[in-house]
Amino acid sequence: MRKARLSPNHTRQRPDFSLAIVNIVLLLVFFFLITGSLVQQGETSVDLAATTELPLERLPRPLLLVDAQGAMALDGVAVTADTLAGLLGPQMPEALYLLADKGLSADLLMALTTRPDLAAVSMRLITLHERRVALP
Amino acid sequence: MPGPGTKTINLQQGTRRRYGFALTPLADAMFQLLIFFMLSSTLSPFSLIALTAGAPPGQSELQGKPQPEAVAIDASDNLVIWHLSRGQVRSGDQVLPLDALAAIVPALLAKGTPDVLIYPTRSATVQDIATVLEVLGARGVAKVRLIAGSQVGGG
Repeated sequence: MRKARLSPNHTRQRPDFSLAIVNIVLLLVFFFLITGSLVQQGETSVDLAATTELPLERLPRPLLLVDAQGAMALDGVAVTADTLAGLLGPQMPEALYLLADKGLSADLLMALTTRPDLAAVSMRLITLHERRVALP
Repeated sequence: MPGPGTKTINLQQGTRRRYGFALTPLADAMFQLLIFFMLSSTLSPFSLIALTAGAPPGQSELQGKPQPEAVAIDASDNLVIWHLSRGQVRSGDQVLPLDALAAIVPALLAKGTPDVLIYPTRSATVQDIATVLEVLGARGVAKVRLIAGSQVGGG
């Protein structure tokens, strides 16, 4: 009598991919957390000045948005040059970051940076880093 | 004693039920986080240019008095004065496009540490200021001063 060589009937276990999916998604979450900067609505509306040689930075706060016409918003709140110092408070931040449109007149920018009531704040212009295009 | 036809269910001796670790809710939460960060963040690479130096201690109490060092200009040997217009710089009677600015910086540095004064004209924009400050900063010109309110025409 011949013996059946087949192994006893058992259901084949399918591999579970859910742990792998969780790992990949977690890595993506970490990627966006590290490389991304949270932006408020309207902060991406201005066309920033472009630079190619400066090191990369994250989008810092407090952020003063200045559009091409000179209208300003501090972290999403509309301000004027006269009310800006009051909105920054008595404990002025060490630096104020300017998200200025590249078409904004230099006179308006200079008038803002030289205001006596903002003399205690160091102003930094945020630019958009562009890759240098290699010439053929 | 149970009678004929009745079944006895023994709850004690039943096989232990195994509860598996469900990963689906975890994966769902991860996807929610991922979608949130993808939609709310920007991956645009930014750079920073310092327009004003850090305020010295006690400067906030000046209440509008002008800084003496901000208005006094040293007549050093290597003083360079540029009038910045849209897309170009004028130095004396020489006009240079901003693209060619990088080429003349080594010559300035060869004469010693230059002290660059920039007068933005009415036609100059934020992009022009950013370009000039980037070119000078990247090539090691540390002393650059922007003169505000010059109201110089041109460009």
